[in-house]
Amino acid sequence: MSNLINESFTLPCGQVIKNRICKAAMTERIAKGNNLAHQGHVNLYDRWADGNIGILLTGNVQVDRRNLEGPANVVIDQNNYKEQYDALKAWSAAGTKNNTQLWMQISHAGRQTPGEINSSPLAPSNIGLKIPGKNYGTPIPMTEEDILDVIDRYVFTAKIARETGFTGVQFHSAHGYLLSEFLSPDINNRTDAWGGSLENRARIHIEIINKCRKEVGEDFPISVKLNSADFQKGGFTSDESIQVAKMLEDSGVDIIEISGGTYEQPKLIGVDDLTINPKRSEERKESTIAREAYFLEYAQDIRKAVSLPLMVTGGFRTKVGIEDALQSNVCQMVGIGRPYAQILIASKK
Amino acid sequence: MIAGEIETLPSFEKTLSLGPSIFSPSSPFTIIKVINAFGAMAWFYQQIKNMANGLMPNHEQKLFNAFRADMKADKLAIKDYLDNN
Repeated sequence: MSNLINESFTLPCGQVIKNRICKAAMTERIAKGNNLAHQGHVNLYDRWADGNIGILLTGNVQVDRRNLEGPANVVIDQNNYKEQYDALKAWSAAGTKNNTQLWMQISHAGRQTPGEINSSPLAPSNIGLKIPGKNYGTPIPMTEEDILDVIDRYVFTAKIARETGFTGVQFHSAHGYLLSEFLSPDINNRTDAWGGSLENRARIHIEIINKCRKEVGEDFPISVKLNSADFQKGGFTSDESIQVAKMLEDSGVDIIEISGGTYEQPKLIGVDDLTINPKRSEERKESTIAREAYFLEYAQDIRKAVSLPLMVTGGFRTKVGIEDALQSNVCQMVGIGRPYAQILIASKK
Repeated sequence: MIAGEIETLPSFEKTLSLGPSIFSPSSPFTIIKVINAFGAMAWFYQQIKNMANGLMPNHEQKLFNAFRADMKADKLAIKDYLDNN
């Protein structure tokens, strides 16, 4: 069997990744007090960095404490960054052991902010989320000022990531969080420069990336996690995903991670028979559902349109499956999440 | 796998279920499906929290126990969040 898993590769920004395995982002929800990083993050990433992984992606670090994915998310903003500067440095020191890349995933939960945290979260439009047993508020449509503020927040968090020793960033535009909400025509019904055409819906991404690149420099990896589709009728389609991937490549993104689904259609956790809103659900082919890496098929279509590195996450469990995906050149990295919820493979023992 | 010591990664999610038959992830009842899906996520959150606390992951933990523990932790975290904001 070939052994591409252990081969290094170079990103467009020049950074070298030592192998092809990435620990995909999994929310930690362990921040304390004022949504601060602490020793628990150090413990976790110290263990994972022992596993000789190419990239460790952090769980979602939030840019706005009013719009969180969970109450114990780490938040980095103008008001609290000094308070956790040393903790962030300790976190990055632990996660970059053994020449491991440690990238901070940066996010804003948008309308998927739990109602207990904020009953009026910011989102592109006022279209709320309904999930049985869960409480989500009706979103407030963002003003132009809100959008510009959020852009600055993403850039600020990326700047702090670099300053404190993280070796890259990933902007989360998948799974129904704010950036992916902008892309979805059924959630974003704006009629201004941030809604309507795909170019307008993707505008916030390009603005963030352009500003971020100026702030963090040409040699710092910038990644985007992009939905291959929402799998919802009237939502973000796979054809649109291909077009956005092209835009991201043109804007200088180093690698795109392909995922899919939202809280309403949680394909991201490999669940296909759970349909929260049956009327809005789109079917997937049985062959797609059955395959080991369920977003690889979509990545194949994106690969035809772009040449930048791709990462596919979701469902990889065998070395054969991973090697096949890498050999096919559809993706250059493979993201693995849930298996890292144990320690035996997380440490090289 | 990177070290060439294993060929297959664990698939914990395949064994995580509220129970058999109508209590499984393929239950005909949406609420049971939702609890199974979010319960599985809770189970993984619990293992991550264990590791962050310097403990070993508890692979014997039942899905419903993890779901309850996660809900309890979430409530405390929300209180902590509201106290600080």
